[in-house]
Amino acid sequence: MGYPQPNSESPVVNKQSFFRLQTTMVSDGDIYESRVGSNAVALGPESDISKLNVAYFDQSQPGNMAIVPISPQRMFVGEMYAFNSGSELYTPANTPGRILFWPSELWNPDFTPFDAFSPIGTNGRVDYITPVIDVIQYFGSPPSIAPARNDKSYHYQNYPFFVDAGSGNNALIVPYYGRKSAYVSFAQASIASMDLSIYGVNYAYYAGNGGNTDVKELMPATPVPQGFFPLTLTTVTKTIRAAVDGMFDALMIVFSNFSSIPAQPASGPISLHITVSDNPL
Amino acid sequence: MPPAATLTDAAKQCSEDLFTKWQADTLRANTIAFGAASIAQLPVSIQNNLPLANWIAIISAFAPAILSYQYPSAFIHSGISQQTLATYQTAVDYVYRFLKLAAYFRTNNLITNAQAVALLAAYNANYT
Repeated sequence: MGYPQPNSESPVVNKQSFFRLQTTMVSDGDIYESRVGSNAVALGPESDISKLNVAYFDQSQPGNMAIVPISPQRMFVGEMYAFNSGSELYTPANTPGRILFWPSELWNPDFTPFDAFSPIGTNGRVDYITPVIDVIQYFGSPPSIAPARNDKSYHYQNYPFFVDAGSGNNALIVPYYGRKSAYVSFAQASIASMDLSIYGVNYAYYAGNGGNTDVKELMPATPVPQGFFPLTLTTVTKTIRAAVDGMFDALMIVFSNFSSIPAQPASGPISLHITVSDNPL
Repeated sequence: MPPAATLTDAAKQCSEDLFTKWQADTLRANTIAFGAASIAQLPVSIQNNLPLANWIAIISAFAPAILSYQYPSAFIHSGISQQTLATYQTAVDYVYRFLKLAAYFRTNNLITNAQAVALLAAYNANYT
């Protein structure tokens, strides 16, 4: 969605008890505003971002701006006002004292993961599942506890593998902000064999290819031979736990070392199933 | 580092640029000046300017709180206190995010080329 953002005043006009901003990110500079006040602010159930900063007008603070982070563990309960005109301005910029939201975490869609490993190849590709920001302002009575995030599952039965004449790799990058566990399951019936590997990625303040990005191998390249649906598939699985493997902004699923491939673009049937959860298992 | 050629390049190098200003103990003054120069390019009467103007509001409100490089430490073996390191890191975070969004807005014609050039000039004048 991105910009222009949804009108925060519409729920008020429509007599809803909340305003929900749910949007995919367009850059790691995303920032959104609300023109309505509320009794509480909490992360929504579909948020990939696990920590969101909320700025609001407070004359007791420098620049009249106070900032409070919210997360799945901690929402903000209290009356918060948005000022759209008049003398309630953030200083020295002199902008309206509206409520502002922005992610505390980074997202780098320019990240090219293969500089550290092997060339992506002419027809290698990187697919991103774009992170979602989901935040709710409550106009009525706020919830008594911070609402939890839903688990998220991604299932693919067909997947476009692109391979050059050499060793082009394919990567799927899945948001994993603040998650405590993940489960990855993969089987395929379309290619003689391929390797599957999994990495944890933490982004850094670098917009170039690769750059200062922390990448940790969670599962080394594991052969996935061709099977045949439904009974003779070879399924490769990996359970990732924060306490054992660490915490990351994203998981990177890498498909590589294609020994043979049908006519481009190759596709299913495959069974790729990824679940990410706040449950620490 | 040398002046950035694009907003994206500025974002790429801003951590290093702000580090140099932080060590020279001019980061607070440079960030205040950067905010003042940038907000002049983003009148809030234009809807598309609002997200970037909101970032400048955050940067400008925060800038006076940037601590000096050698903030007095409470410890005998005093080095760089964590407070000053934290304010440097926050300045990098805010400026980086502003530049990335500005680059996106320019690419998608949500701000004009003249605005993008002026914002880049403000960055280069204050941080490179």
